[in-house]
Amino acid sequence: MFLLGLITVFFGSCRPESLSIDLEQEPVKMVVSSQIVPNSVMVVAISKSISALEYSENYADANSGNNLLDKILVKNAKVSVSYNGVTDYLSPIIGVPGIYTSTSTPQYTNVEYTLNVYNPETGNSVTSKATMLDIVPFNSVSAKRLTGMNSGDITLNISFTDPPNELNWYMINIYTDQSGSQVENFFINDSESQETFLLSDIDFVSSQVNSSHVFSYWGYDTLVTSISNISQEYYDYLLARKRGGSIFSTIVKEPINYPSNIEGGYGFFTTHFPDIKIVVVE
Amino acid sequence: MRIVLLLLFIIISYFGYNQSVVSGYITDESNGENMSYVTVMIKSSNVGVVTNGYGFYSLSVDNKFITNDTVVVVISFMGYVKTEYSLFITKDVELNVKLKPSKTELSGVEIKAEVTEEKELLRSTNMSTTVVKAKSIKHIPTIGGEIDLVKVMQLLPGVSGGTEGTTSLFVRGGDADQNLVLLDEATLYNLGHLFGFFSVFNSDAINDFTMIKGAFPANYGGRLSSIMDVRMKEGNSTKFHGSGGIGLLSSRLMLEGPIIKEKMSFLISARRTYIDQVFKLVDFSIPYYFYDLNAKINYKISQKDRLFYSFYLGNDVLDYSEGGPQGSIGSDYGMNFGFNLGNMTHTLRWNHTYNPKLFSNVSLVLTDFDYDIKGNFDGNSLDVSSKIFDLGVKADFEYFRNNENHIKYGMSFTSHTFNPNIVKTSGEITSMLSSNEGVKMLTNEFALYAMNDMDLNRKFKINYGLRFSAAVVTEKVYAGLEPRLAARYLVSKNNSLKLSYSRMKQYLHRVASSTVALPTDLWYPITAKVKPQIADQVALGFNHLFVKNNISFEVELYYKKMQNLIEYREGASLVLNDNYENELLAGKGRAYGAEFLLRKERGKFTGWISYTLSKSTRQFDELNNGKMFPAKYDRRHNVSIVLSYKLSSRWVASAVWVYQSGARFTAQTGQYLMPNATMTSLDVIPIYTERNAVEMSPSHRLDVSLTFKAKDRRKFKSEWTIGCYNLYNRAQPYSVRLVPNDNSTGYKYEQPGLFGFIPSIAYNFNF
Repeated sequence: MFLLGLITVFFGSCRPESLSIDLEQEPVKMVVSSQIVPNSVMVVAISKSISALEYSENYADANSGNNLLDKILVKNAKVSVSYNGVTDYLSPIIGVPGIYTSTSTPQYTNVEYTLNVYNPETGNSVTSKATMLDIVPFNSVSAKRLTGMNSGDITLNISFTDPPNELNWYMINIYTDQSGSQVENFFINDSESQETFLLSDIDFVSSQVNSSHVFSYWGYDTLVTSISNISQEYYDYLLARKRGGSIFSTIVKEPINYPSNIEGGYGFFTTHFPDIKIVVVE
Repeated sequence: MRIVLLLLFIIISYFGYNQSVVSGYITDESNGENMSYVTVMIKSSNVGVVTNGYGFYSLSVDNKFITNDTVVVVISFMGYVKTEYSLFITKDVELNVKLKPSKTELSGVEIKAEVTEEKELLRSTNMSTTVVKAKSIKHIPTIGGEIDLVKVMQLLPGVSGGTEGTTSLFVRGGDADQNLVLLDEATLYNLGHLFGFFSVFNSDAINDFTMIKGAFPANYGGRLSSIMDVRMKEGNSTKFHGSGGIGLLSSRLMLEGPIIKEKMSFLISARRTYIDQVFKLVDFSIPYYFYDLNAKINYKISQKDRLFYSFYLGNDVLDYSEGGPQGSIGSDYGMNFGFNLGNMTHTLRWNHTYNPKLFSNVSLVLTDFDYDIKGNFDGNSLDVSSKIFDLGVKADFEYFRNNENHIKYGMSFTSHTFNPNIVKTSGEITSMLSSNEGVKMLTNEFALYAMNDMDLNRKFKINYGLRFSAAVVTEKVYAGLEPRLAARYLVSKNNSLKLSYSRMKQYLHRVASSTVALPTDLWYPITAKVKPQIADQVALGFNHLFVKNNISFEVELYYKKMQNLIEYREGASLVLNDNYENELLAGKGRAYGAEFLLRKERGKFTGWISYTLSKSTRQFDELNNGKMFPAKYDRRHNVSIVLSYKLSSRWVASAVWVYQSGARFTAQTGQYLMPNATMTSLDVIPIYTERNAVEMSPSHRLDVSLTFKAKDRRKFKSEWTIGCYNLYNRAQPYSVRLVPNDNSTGYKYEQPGLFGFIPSIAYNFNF
């Protein structure tokens, strides 16, 4: 009992008050994301960064998702895209704040597009450049559901022709329906299943590329798949996103400083031109 | 070609032996243990030598010191009776001496010896080196009142600890894996029990430790930043003796004595925590304990041959069961979790004297380190283990050519077998994590070295050496030379200047997270892709001895460049990742600083004050946008004050005050939302500062203790020590937590401390 008493004293000792380091909030910056709907529309979404705790605080709120979006989307920005000496202004979509589109901007390959965004509320502006690379279409696409133990998985077989004598990087996207291409759903799509595969032609043995990809799929019997010829910078950015995983995995992963091509802001401005195919799962 | 050069180097130094030689062993009369650093001198001259690490000496006697075929030799060591021998010397003489402890020293009265260890250190080429005797630190206050060698190492200049309580060491801006810890010549891979709160060294079994942070002699290699050579006691060969202690968290007992008097002795020492057993009495379960066992047998085969066998076994055991039958790991019901973390070493060592000038030490060493984590939950089971098995041989030769040239040469070979990350799973968990036998990796490490400690004249002394090291791994052989040089200039009798350069190579890494401390940090060998670490270090030092007070003062400046350091790639998964090789990046490091040490080891008032000003940076092409960043434990200031005062023959008061700048971390300062690549959902993207850009708060604390020596009862002596850790209850940050800042629009990082004010009481005895 003597020892027990002593040990109780040991463990019952004072717990020191935590020390603290004050950190200034990271200055709020604009966040850019973009999408090209082939032969139709150029979409740019503008939001702003938040404090390190804001997402988790809002997450606790049952109505968090849209409330947070309302707070972060930049509603009255001046958004323009310049190319070949021409400047087009992108228009906000009524009822969908933070999304700016242009249906008149031509989609030229191998042309550099310069994005300029000005937020009159804060006086901040950001700029970025991206080149629309040649479209590289699928030669063929098929999808087959696996059986037995892996019945939730699908094998996607694709083939395409990698342009010779140049370095190329590819993004293969798969999702369950086409809502991703609907502009008004830019921030709020919720595809049941989605997957992205990244390829670099450094790994290819010939220009005729045949590759298979296995992924988990819980959608319908059709899926949407696309291939985009993307820049090395965007490829590196997407690789970092893949490595980063979700916000919940940050505690078991090394921190990542995500690359960005936005001067004065975050995110990525990209003008890749996807070839989209709807595939029936066999 | 390189080997030929080495041999040539040895041969050149070998010739020229035409003097009489006095040689032998110096032992402590009270326990028969060999004594290092004892001075053996020719009377009325400056000619002398010191005993080596095994108590052997070889003194060449020039004819001019011989009168009527007689020479007078003086043997002295602080705390022992100075002894003179008049030797008849027509040929080589063997003189084995048992030094008698001085009673005046034992009673606490200061002795003004002619030669002390401090003076010897000042005169030697050794720099960046600290020797600490276990008995000299027994009053230093620690958590739980038990002496902890690793915590004492953390109080030395140039050494900083990790987070509170842990046994990690960061020496001169290096990483935690860059310290070679030898226990009787066997490598230890894990220094801590209870996740590092206790060191694996049982102070009863330890004689002393030497810490080398630079100016590495050529006989040491294998790590970049430090060598910690810990030596166990040999076992009392004259009489039976025991000691032990009862503390709040653990108790220990050591027994030693002769098996054959003055010929063969043993030592056995054990320690165990008993929190689990005590709480069991009140039906409360703390399913954790650790234990360790040290043993040694020392056999004097002849005057020329001695054999030693040392053994160490340590284990941490956690066995938690909930819902199912007690101890039912493997059950399908409830939750069970446990781990076992173990270290075992064996050393078989043979000392042989070929002739009065040539001494050898040959060792066979074995290290077995493993951890095993098991868990059962709802019909699933997971078992993750990792193993390292080392088997090695070392042969060290010392040739005492004359009093001006002390040559050492030798070789070592170690076969490392690594089995990192063996995973066994069953149940539904197999779909997420499949069983994996891991990859067995073999590394054969080899080294050959030669060095000479040479007196050029009365003022200049140099130690030059060369080490050739190599490692053979699958599909690759790494090999290279490691030059070593240390020089001393005696400015005056009590002042010396020292300069050194050394290159070190390291053929294994420990893969550790930059953000979280996991018990599963893996030791990982070099491979064809992962190259060996290399460091080049220069150091400049000044030593001064205040003879009147026997206080030594050292200042050292150092600069260290490191290559092929490893870090995890950004976004690397830290848990159960079996693809380590592809997740590692190689980069460079740089560290520099100034160290100050004021030390007093004799008299009523003992202790030291140390201060280190340092900077340590890293540069990896693929981290932090290729920009240089501070090392995680780049602590700018580090102060330790260690004081002990003998109030009377029965009372000793001690105190330790430690201050160190905060460690660094990569802070999350914001976040934003971005659609994923398919534009079908939003991800939260964290925004971080530059790598390790934020400095945690500095930590400082005061520990005190008071020791009361009870009245001796015949041969039984005992003492009580009461003390407290962190007297003014300040948090020593061990983690960071992001919280809103109530006083501003920003936020703050909270840094909780693990231990506040902790009282302790311990009872120690010996007989």
